Amino acid sequence: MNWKSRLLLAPAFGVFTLFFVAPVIYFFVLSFWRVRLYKLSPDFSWVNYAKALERYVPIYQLTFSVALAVALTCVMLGMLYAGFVRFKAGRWSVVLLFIPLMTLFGGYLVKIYAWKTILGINGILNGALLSTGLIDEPMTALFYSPLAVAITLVYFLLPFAILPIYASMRGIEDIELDAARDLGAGPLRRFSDIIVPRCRAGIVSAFIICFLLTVGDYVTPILVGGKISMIGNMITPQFGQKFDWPLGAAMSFVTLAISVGFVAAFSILISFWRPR
Amino acid sequence: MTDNNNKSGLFVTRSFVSRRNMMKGMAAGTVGLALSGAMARAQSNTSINMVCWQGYDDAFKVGSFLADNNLEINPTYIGSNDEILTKITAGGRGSIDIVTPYMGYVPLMVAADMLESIDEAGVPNLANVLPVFRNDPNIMVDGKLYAAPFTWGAAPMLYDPAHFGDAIPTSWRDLEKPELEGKFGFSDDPIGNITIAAIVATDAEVATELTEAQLKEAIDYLIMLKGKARLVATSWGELADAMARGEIVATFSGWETMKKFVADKGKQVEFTYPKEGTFAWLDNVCIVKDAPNLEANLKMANHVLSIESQRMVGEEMLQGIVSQAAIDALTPEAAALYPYENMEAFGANATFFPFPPLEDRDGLASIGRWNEEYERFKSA
Amino acid sequence: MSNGTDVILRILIGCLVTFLVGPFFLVALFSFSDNPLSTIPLGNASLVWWQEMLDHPSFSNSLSNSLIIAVSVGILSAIIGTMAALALARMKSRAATTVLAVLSVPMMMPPLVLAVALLSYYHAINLPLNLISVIISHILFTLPFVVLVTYARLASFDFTAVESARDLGATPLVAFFTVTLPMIRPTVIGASLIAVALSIDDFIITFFTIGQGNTLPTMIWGMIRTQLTPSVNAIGTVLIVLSLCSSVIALKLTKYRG
Repeated sequence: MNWKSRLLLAPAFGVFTLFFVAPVIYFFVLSFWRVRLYKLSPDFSWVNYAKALERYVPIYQLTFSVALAVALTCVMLGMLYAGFVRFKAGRWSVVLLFIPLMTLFGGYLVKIYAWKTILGINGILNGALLSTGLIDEPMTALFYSPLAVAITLVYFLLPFAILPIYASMRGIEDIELDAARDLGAGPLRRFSDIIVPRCRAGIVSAFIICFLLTVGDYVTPILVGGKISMIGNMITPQFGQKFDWPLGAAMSFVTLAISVGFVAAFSILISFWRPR
Repeated sequence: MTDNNNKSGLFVTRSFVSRRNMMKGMAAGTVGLALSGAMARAQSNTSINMVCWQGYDDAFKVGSFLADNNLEINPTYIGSNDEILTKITAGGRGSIDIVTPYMGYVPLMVAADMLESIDEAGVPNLANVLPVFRNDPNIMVDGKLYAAPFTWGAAPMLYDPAHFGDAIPTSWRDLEKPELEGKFGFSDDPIGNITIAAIVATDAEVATELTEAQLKEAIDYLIMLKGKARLVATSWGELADAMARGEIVATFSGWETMKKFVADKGKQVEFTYPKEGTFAWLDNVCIVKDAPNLEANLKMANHVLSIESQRMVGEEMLQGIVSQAAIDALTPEAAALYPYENMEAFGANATFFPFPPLEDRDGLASIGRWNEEYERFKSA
Repeated sequence: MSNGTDVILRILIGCLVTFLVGPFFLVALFSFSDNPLSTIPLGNASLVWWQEMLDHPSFSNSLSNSLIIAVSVGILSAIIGTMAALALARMKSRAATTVLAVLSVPMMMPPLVLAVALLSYYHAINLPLNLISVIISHILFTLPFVVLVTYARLASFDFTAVESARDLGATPLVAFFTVTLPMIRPTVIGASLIAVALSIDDFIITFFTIGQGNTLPTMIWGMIRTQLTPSVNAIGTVLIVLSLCSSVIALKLTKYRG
């Protein structure tokens, strides 16, 4: 690299080092500190990690189950949608591609809030089901439940799954699929032997985004989860009323580590998916 | 916000939006916004940053006080008391002037060096404050005053009369009944919830001074109740919203003003103080350490204790007030809301408890232990 | 494929489209209805929530904060990002990919973790929390987008024009402004508008790093947590329209096709 390139890269790396690498390192160091009388005091103690691992086992279980369910649902629906846009939609493909692009940005909080009006006891879904006579009294399991959290997150994250999967599907030539069909491969065979292996990169990035964003989300459980808490809901109070930043830091790193484990496991599993 | 500032804000926005040439507009826009923002700040009134419950800022706006002193209020509304602490720790020092914590948080905030002590000479209206509030043990630390009490109430149970008919709930234990399963909600208020649970389910004499065993009993009771509840709302606003939308018909703990919140959404609910008793709260004006406008803040604390401000709190916000002079001037309807005549009678139903111990002592669980145990409730 | 499965497939896609678009319409719809609970029946058409939004004491302040932050983030990440992309375009593609991957790590962090890490760090280095700290924090996750999109454009860029300009005696800076920039300008603007859209919509990182004051999302959060009124729908509509506009223009300019 010559000096000019270095100079051009300097601001980007400056921001990256000063405001990402340094904070993360500091945050890691902080996770070994202690709090005494509401003041941080440097220390080297594993006690925060012990607490972070011991106390929140049910919370981690719930968080990672929801994240896994949400990420897998998003990947599957994303495959369906992206596949339709790429191979079936014809002239509608531009419009159909535009929809997830438009819903990608804008209104994180409003999107969550909207589901309150849809899933609630007097919500639109219950209203519709009641008026068609499909149910006799409003369903309460739809709202203030893990199901509500999952539905809301799938809604929010689906565009993040569709777009990378679609991008990787663009690399598949029609001619390959036609050739496979001419050789007698049915739709399922074409799907599992050509489409999935060729979309591996897209599928993995869709999974990563959906999984990580779910794990870190603490707003959705608050607004539609009712009684349930996810790990984010236990981390945020450490930075408020509980005044335990070191514990919050340790919890963040434990969460990150488990997430990386899941993501790595998923990438490895999908890499075993080979054409027969 | 003054007219002055408002205008410049609108002008900036419009001129930004109407630019045709986006790129030039963006560049010029930033510079323009930054400059006019700075200018607006320079030429306008002193802006007082306040972190408070929605509506509390109105108590400071009564009369011509703000205009007379060239002040304006920039409020950040909280959904729960601990957001005050979050805002102060998250860089609020040196920018936030006033916060309105409930009395229990005051000793903790003093211990964390978050509050400026209040110069009583600067707040002459303190002399009008009823002794029961003026002498609250929480607001004095080491002989110094850290909070000016200005409004109070007690945590009631809110209920939907349409659901209960004549059989209105009288006990916290009514929530355990099978017919209310899935129909009531909590607020995510650690200290309040544990206190009420301790009143209901333990033999503690003072509900905020619990042994480890009593603390565990209280949390176990809360977990049992949570199993039957529909919702643990993270703010009073959400709890009120759930009532208005018919998701729940009763609450464990509450805030009198929620009745107004729910009424604003077209639904009538009532509140009651269950027979086991409840905790009373006292909200205060506190000045944050390193507050930029100390002088003005003292004047504001004094203003909110003035007769006109106190009457507004009592008559329009329907909350309890603290100033004897203002109580004497209340309309009969507002005066009837709270037992001003006989504060002892109020004490039979609702108690101003001390704050849980800051450190473990005499076999009593500290606030730290309360918070840790409360996480058990959250995870359940 | 048989006609039957085709029909089922179409119905499924129809459901997904409704699922994706429906809530947006509901938000806009309820902002114009006088029903205080945002439920059905819809109630009467009314601008009462829009009026309430405009009357809200922190609305104009939140809007201008949002715009100041978003525009600054857009410009700064365009400048820094284009510089980085130019450097990457001169590097071997493997090295460039590695650098891109490294710069993209902040996007991969759960926002909450990034937010609390930044908060503790700013606290430790005594950086006051204000709009500037928010702008810096936003650039962290918008910059990778700008670099990625601009680099993709430069990868297919024909540098011979730049070289001829240089041969004719133009300084590198002049060559950049007269040759390179005009050709990549739509991409740069588009990329920075994506940054604007991301910035306008960010809630979690803003919430932890702003200290005092509000942007539109943190204002909505405050309203949701205190007294929830349908004026949330009105502000939500403003927010969606703002970020939609910037992303539509962005997509047109960068010619995004998946």
